[in-house]
Amino acid sequence: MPPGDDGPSRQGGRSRRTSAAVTDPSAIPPTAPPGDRLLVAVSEQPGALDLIRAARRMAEALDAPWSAVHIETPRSARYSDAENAALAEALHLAAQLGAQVASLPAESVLDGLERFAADAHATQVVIGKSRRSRWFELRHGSIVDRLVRRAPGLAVHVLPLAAPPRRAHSRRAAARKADLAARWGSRTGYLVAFGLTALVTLLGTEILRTGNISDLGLLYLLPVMVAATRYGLRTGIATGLVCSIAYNFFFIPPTHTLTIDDPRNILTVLVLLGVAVVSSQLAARVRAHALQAQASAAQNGALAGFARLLTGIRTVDELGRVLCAEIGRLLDGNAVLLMPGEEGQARALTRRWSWSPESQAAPPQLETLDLAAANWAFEHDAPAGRGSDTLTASEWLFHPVAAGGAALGVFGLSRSDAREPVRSDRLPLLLSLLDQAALALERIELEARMAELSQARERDRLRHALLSSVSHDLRTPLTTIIGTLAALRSTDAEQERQMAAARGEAERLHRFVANLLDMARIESGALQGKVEPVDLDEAVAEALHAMRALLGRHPVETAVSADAPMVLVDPNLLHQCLTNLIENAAKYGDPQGPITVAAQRRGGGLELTVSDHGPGIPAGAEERIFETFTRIEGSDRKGGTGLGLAIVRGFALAMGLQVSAANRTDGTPGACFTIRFDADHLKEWPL
Amino acid sequence: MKPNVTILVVDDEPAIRRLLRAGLARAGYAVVEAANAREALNAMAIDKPEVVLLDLGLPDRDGLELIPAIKLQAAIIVISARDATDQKVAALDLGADDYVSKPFDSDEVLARIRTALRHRLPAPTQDGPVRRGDVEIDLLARTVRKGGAEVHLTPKEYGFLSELACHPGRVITHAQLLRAVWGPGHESDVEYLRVAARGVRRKLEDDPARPTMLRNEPGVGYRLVGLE
Repeated sequence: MPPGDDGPSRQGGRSRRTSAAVTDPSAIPPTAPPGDRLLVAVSEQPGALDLIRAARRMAEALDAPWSAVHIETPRSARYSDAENAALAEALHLAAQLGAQVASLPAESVLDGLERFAADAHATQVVIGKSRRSRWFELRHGSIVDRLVRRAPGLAVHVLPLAAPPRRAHSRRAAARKADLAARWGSRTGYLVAFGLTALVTLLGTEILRTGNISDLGLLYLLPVMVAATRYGLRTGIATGLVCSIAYNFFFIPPTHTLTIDDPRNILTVLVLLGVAVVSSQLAARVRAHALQAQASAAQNGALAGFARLLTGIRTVDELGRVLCAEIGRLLDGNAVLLMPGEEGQARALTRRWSWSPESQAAPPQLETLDLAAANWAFEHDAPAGRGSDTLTASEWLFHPVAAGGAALGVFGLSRSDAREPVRSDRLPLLLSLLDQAALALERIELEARMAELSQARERDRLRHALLSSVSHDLRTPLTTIIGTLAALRSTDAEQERQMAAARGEAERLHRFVANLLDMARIESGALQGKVEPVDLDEAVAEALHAMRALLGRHPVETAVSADAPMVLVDPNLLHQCLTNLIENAAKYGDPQGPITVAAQRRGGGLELTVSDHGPGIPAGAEERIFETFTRIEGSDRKGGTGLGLAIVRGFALAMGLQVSAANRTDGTPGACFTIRFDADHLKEWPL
Repeated sequence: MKPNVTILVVDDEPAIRRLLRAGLARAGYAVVEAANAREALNAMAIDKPEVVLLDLGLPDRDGLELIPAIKLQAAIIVISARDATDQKVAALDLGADDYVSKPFDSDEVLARIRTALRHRLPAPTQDGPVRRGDVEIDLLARTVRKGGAEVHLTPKEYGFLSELACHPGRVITHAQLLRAVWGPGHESDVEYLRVAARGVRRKLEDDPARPTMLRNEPGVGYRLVGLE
């Protein structure tokens, strides 16, 4: 069992590294011994949140894992609502900050802390010292002092806790008053106890009649112990008093009076009272422990069952249904889970699952106010609604379901009988359940993303295989055909003409295949340009050289201005752009009108233009012309593939360049294509 | 006719091998064929070819792996796809002499073979000046003349030009040029080459905007063409 894994009531224990924020390894002090483990004792006291944050900072500095533990003492059962909520909040914060969270029942805080520290092999303990009154310390002792004395191997860090606000005091007093009322015991208890006393008295009278037995007082121990153990201290003491009176009245001479002659009999009365006090205290303590253990076991059972349920879940939808049903059943209320829709819908809470204890058919309704609370809780990653600090007018209490610092959804609870949605002592359970649900959600989303990734990888692999196979299988026969046709010698003019035509078509087919492959590369996003400085003069000259056969006698002018800088692009992609633009100009331009390739600075950048004299671009087609298989005028006699300009745009975009089409601005008809290089794509010539 | 020159054609496509064999045989070369790397290495040992036409996509091994093994015995001309620039550069840097892109022109292949063979011949070209039209590069005297008049080149321009002139007609990769002229450690400073190329063109080309002598192979390197 790994250290720290044996806390009997782990709440959403996470194995996430505590020091996720430490990125620089040198930030860890070199003196930190390996195997440091930090333990922070969480109490219901105000200031616990600061204590947890401080503990986390220390854990980060030590690069040590850390646990937050709350020791449930018998006193825990008497926490007020505010204290319960504060405790739940503190434990939740610790879980969010990456601590292992545990809650451990124990006789005293000291015992529990010492045991947990030993089990978890903790080396450092952080505890808060509250500014309690001297009187409290005299009665309960200072935990700090005793811990230091009892666990010598442990480094104990003591941090002062903030002074408790007055309000908490008054609440505490009110809680104590209610508690006090409960301690007076039930009426049944008194009836049973007094009945038993009467029975014992009758029995004693019978025994006295049959033989002279002196110490009948022992008989009265029976009702006193029953009353004290079953019905508490007050009932026990009352029974003790009644028993003493009955004993005195019926059995102590002078009988049938309340006077006592023999001082021995006074002792009997005192013993009866003492037994009442001691046994009621013992019983009360045992009962408190039993209750605590029971609650702890129930909570653990619920958590474990829930965790088991969650591990089998594969989809978010299933998780939503199970989460609502389970938490609704455990906390006996209406449950609803709201999650944002699929990505791209501005994180609106559109997905909803709900559960209601009354009927499955009628899901609980959310009013506008409730939805506002839900949205607030989601956006702020904090509870909202009834019983929280925000939007308390709502019938619902919403808690965020958060993992990794981001809210994945919100969970809402309400009760049909208009009571508080969650009892304060059940709040830790709810938060633990939600923590588990968040982890499960995170896991499901991760799984989905992994599946998507492997699918994408498979798709890429297929596309790549297809591309290389097409590239190889189409090009090889074309290479052979073109090469063979070129090698053939004709015998007469007619044959020469036919062969030239065949060769031209084969070359066109080859260009088409090459274009299709380029297009496939663009669409697969597989273009990884290798950027280097390129001399535009050189690039233009090389493109014209490559297209010399196609250009034939078509006149070409180049006008790269003398101050044009180098451009930072992939030389091959730029070459393809230029050859495609020149090819386009040669095909659609007037064969007599010169094609102009020019480059000049404009507005901090550089513009490279390829313009022709010809019909130009129809109005409104300036964008459409770059689409795949667009051929203006629908002419396919020109031998184009309809891909050239799409490839130009695709390659240009891959290099981060803009391409646009327009008609010539000098008044003559014709098209003008512009590739624009921004300032960060330019590199000046060295002087 | 050169019946004494043997050329090994390595390609896994029978049609391409047939096509090349026809063209090469017509030009007077003896032709040996290999369909994979194993056969190619066998042929290297048995037939001792002077030139290898190597397709890099072989079924049993990457064609690039063959280059170091055979470059000392024969000139290597790589046949590769048009868009495989990285592969071309890798092949050249490994020691291949040149490359042609598919679909190739038989005349172009023959021209590349002639260039490659010239470099395999024992008589190096460094002995006398190399000429192209009215440009004369004297590698011994370290002078360059155009139209009879001496042209002043910067040391880097001259280094760049002479490195190309030592291997006329052959493409020299950016990395090779940079290493030879600027020294190791400058292999990726392509802008130095651009500056030198621009200077050389301005001083030696008739029309620097339409260079006919100093040719650029986008993303690969430079080549001096038409030298005698």
